[in-house]
Amino acid sequence: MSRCQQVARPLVRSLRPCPSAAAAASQSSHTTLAVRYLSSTAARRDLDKTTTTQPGSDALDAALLGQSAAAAPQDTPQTRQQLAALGSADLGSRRRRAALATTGDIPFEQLPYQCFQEARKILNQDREEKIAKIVAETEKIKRLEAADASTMRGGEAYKQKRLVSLREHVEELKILADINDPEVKRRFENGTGDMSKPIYRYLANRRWRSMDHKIVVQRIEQFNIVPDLLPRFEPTMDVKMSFRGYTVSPGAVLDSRLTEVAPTLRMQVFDKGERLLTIVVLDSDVPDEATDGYARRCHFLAANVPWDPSKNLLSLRQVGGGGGELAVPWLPAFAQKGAPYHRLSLFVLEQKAGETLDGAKLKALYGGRDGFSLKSFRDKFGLTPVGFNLFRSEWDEGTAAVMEKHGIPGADVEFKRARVVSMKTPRAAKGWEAKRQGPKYKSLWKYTKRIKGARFERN
Amino acid sequence: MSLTLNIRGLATRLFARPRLPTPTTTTTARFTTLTPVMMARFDSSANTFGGKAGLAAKQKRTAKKGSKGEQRDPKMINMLKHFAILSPRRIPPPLRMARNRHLRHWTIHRAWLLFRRREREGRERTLMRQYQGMYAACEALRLSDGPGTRETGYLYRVAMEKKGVYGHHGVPIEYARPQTETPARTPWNHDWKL
Amino acid sequence: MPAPSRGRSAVSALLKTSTRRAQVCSQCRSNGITNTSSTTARPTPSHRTQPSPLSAARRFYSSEAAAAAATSTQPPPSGQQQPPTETDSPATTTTTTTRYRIKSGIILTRPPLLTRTLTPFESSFFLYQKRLNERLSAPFRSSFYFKTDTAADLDWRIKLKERHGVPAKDIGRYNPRGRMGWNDEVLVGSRTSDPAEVAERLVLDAEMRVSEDGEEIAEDERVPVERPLPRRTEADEKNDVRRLDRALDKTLYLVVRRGEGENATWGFPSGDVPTHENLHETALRVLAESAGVNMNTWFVGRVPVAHHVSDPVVGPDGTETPRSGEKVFFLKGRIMAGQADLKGNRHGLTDFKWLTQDELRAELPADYFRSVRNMFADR
Repeated sequence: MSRCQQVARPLVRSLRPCPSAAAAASQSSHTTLAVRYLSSTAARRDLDKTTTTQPGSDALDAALLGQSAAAAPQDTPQTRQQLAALGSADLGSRRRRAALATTGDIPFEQLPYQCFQEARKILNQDREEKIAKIVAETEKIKRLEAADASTMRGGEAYKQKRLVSLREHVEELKILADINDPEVKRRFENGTGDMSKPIYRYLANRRWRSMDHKIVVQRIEQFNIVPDLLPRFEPTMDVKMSFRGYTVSPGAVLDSRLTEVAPTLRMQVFDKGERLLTIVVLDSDVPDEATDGYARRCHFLAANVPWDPSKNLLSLRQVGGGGGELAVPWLPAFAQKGAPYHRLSLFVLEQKAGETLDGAKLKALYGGRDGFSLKSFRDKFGLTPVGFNLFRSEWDEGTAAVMEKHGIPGADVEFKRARVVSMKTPRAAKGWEAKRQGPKYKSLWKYTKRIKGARFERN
Repeated sequence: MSLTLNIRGLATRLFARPRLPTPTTTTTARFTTLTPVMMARFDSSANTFGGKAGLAAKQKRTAKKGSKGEQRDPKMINMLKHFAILSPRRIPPPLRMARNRHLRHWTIHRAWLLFRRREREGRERTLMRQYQGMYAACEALRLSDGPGTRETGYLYRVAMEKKGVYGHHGVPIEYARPQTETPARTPWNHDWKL
Repeated sequence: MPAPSRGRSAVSALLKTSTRRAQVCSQCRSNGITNTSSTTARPTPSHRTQPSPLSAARRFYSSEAAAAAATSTQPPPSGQQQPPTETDSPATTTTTTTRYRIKSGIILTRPPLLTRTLTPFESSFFLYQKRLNERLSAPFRSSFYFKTDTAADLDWRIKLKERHGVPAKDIGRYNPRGRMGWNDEVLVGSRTSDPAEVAERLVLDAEMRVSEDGEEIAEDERVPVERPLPRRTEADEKNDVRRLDRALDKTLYLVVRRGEGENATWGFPSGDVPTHENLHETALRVLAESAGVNMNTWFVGRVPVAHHVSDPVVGPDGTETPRSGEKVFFLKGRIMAGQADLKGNRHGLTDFKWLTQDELRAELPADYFRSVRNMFADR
């Protein structure tokens, strides 16, 4: 527990509405919530927004996820006032009070520490150099754009290639100019960075690549998404999924009651510009008795979702309303009894620049849901898969109710393994075996005779 | 690092041997340098290692040894105390910094990396420049007619010869003088005679 | 590849190289050989016009230069080049456009004796790191280093008390284990990190405060410690450019003045290379002749580090040359001790100076400086 958390603990404890026995378990998360809400850093937008649809479903969701319900701190003027006092110089540790007393109102950049100020001089000088370079390169780009391509040796192709590389260089310089700024780092860590700026996109990309991307790539490999669904696939954008407000890790087995409603996506693209996205959720493990194999089924399909780096949140329940076309509505994830787990993979595909897909055509093509092939869908509409997430579904105690509620037949079906009958003819016992067939060895009969479900006679 | 580890290993080995005599058994004047705090610590460490039964047995043993008159050298005690300070328990924990402090540290660290990078690149540029100067000179030498009646490139060929350049006395010993922060008493010997 | 074929390829490679070498050798020596007797040797011009790819890759510089010369001038009709000894004849001097005198120069340098001065960032960063290290390391235990109640111990105790209990001598007043241990940053304007200040404190600390018999010494009776000498010397203050103990943290270069009065020019010592000498031999000789032998010098290799070409000044009729062209190749030398002495020099030198890079820029002619500036070190 950090120092500021220690400071805030007594206050938060007094603010907690219902100290119960379960509170001990939830204390840590509770404290974190309160402190983050109050700290001088900007509060995260989503904290005061509830993502659940039904007001009474909190306890159910928490129970489903195996967590105890953590009540959010009540937001009243009184608590606000009390917690605002945390920022004052009278509270806190001796160290904090001393630090505030010496450097109270001075902005961070001007804190009068010698080495810090010398370091800032060095960094500022570097930043100025980089900015001068950016200006020079931009001038160069302008000159090149104005120049006639026929005068160049490589012609138009050379000119375009050179322009692209110059622009890339400028982008790189923009990142380099800002990467050493502590305020940029602070804003990024607070989550208040402006994603339309290259530096924040770069930092976000780096953070995503450090862990989340690796996990997603591992899931793609271990669940055989490649080559089952696509011949090759490299995710380039961050997609996080949350059901009823609970973020799920990629590949988790989820309760069918949790996945009854469509998830909310937290999507982050790392390259600039506006683009249209298509979102597909498909089940790739639908058992098919006819062929004794597995088929695919489309659970959700939405197209033409406008997206850019500054956007973050997309609820799949509201796709039709706020931009985008809903082609196939959400079908709850379910798995029949006895079937192995179903992989439900969510793909985000990028549409070609400036092209919109025809919603009616999509409805006509994929409204039947069954036999959906992602690869042919991608090829037919010229899409590029960029984002991926995955969860699994198994038969559980709530599946039957969910299926009944949504009118999905097949809740009474149970899949069993077909027994493979031996092709050998039964033979008489010999030797050691024959000697032990008598009633003296009755205790061994359970291994050889009247085994449940087994038919030893060939018919 | 390895040196520290070795010292620590030595300390544990020293500790693993029979404990210091407890004040109850020996009260000779040689142990006056041992403060009560130190003694308490040695005792407590014995306690943690051996438990109650172990402590009792140890006391018995030390009592026997004490009666024999074996005492530890004060130098050894000094050494042991020193190693006790170096034990991992007494080494300060890793730094923990608050947010602003950490951001300042990060800024300083980034500036240092940038500074080092600039120096390194400056050095590389100088080397490159010097190499280019040598290359141009050599190229001009290669293409020029030799002195007097020599054919073209003769001087270049001779300049490239490495005979006698390396080896013993190849580089004079005076050249090994490192740079210092302040000059010597006589900064330069002007009166050097052949 | 199986072993037998590998052997075959090795042998064939050997054969190839030997034949190629033979070709090239004949070509190389063609100047001399074709001149004397050999009629079997391939005539040079035809070889030049149709070079086989093999020989082109391995052609020697001399033959290439000859080829260049031959293409610029008219090759002799017989296809045989004149031997170099005959270049002095008037016929050849008219055809060859430029002739240069080869000179060998010496750039004698005195390496920097002192480290460079620290930048403010460096010195403050070092102090910052020292204090962080204090926070992270085990406490200092003086009884391990000083035997109790000895003179050294008493001395240590006095000094420790004066430093307010801080064992380290150069981190200022900072106790990492105290209640303000977290406050390890030095404020702007503090002189704790200043290298001069640090040196001052170390000197003060080196003074013995306690006599051999454990008595504290009065301030006026203490033996003062020899102080480190200043980085700027007397020659620096006087700006005596003839002395070598100036600008100790920079490289000094020896330049000499040729001639008197109006047409005096500054430059590095140089002299003509006679036919029987090489660059480094001439450089050695020229240095001894012009600046005396009382210098402990060392030549850093025999490869020229810079060169300067001055084109000949052609008269109005195109034949007469008031000043012939010259190519000066400079070798790099280091001086370890001694001083230049122009007394009795044979090169008409009237003055010498030891200059830094920046001063050279002002003193040398602009094109001369541009030719040699690539060899300069950073400082």
